[in-house]
Amino acid sequence: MRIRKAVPGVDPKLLIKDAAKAMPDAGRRVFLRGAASVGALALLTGCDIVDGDAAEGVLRKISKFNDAAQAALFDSSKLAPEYPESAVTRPFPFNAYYALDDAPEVDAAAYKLEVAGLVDNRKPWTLDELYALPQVSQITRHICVEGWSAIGSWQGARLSDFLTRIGADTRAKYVWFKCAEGAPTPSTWRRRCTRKRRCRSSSTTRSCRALMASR
Amino acid sequence: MSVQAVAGSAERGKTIHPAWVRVTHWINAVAMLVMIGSGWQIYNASPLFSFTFPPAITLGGWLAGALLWHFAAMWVLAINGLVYVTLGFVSGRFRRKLWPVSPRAVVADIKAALAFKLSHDDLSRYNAVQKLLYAGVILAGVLVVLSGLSIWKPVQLQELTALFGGYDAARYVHFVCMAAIVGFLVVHVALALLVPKSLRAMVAGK
Repeated sequence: MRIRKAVPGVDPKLLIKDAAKAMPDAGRRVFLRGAASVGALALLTGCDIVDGDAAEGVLRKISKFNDAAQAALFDSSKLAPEYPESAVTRPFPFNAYYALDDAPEVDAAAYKLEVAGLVDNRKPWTLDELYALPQVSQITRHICVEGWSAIGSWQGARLSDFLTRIGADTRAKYVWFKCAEGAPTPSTWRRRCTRKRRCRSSSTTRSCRALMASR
Repeated sequence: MSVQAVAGSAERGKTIHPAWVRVTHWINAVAMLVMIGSGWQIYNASPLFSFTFPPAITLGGWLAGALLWHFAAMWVLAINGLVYVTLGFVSGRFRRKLWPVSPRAVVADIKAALAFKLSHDDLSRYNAVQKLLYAGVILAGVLVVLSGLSIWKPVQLQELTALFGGYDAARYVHFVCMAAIVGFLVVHVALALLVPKSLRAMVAGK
């Protein structure tokens, strides 16, 4: 029931720019300022935590460890619970770093989904070709990394079907989506998660509709 | 070091806090501060209430940085907490120190405390208010971890998430537990500073 325009305390321009990089240089300064501001960390000075690069390096390593731990602990075939039609959040919250009116226009007829990376067939896809793939639908809760959540009704081609068709190397761990708004959105493959919400908030709604994650 | 502490205690009074309590206490103190500071930053990305935490008292700088801190310190908090709770039950310390606690004793001790008449002569014995607060904060600690797990993995741990009444409800539980822990922390630190020998006991053991 709410229209979200921006995340408080986050510079939208900075964030869009930085989304492309794992830990951005510009964002890093902010990150470090936050790290240094907490008096509690004085307790950890023995670990050279005041040196931001060291702290960041350790955090990156733990993050990699977390990826491995999660892959080992959790079941990649476990599916999100589905909900009845009546549970769908209406209106579905708009969430982007710009106002709805500022969303870029995409010409559906000229649209092409370009494919790259560990795939056999890099032929670009038109919207009609995507729509011609077997379509599935589901009603599941989208949970944003920011913390809010909303139940949506999702339709489109199953991402796994699409990946099979293009001959993707299924040993790859991530799928990278680039939306028309210019902000690339990395997505994990194993956990079968796409940034559905973000896609929907952007003008690439249709391509995302056409190319939906298998939950 | 622990051997010395035990030997010393035989001569000059008993050990108030065994080494495992002191070690887990201070590891927990650091982990908690990191979890709270980064948690406030994460909260700010999508506030549950009509306020946000001032950036100066948060950790991580922005959402992604805060998540890195939160998901790093969670291991320290959870493993240390598990060791503490397990030893607390196995050693009988919880039963000896925190049990029993009656409402009447709590009321009586609150009155005594407000009149500054509560005795601190024997730090090895907790008064009723201490028992209630310590047992309460342990419970809040368990709940904050469980609700945190259900927010972290709402698909993988969906049964746990459902137990909290769903993802959104689990966020509120997580927040309320944090608030309870922070409230405890304020009282706990203030009283430890008012009775400095209690701080010494948590460092040196007696």
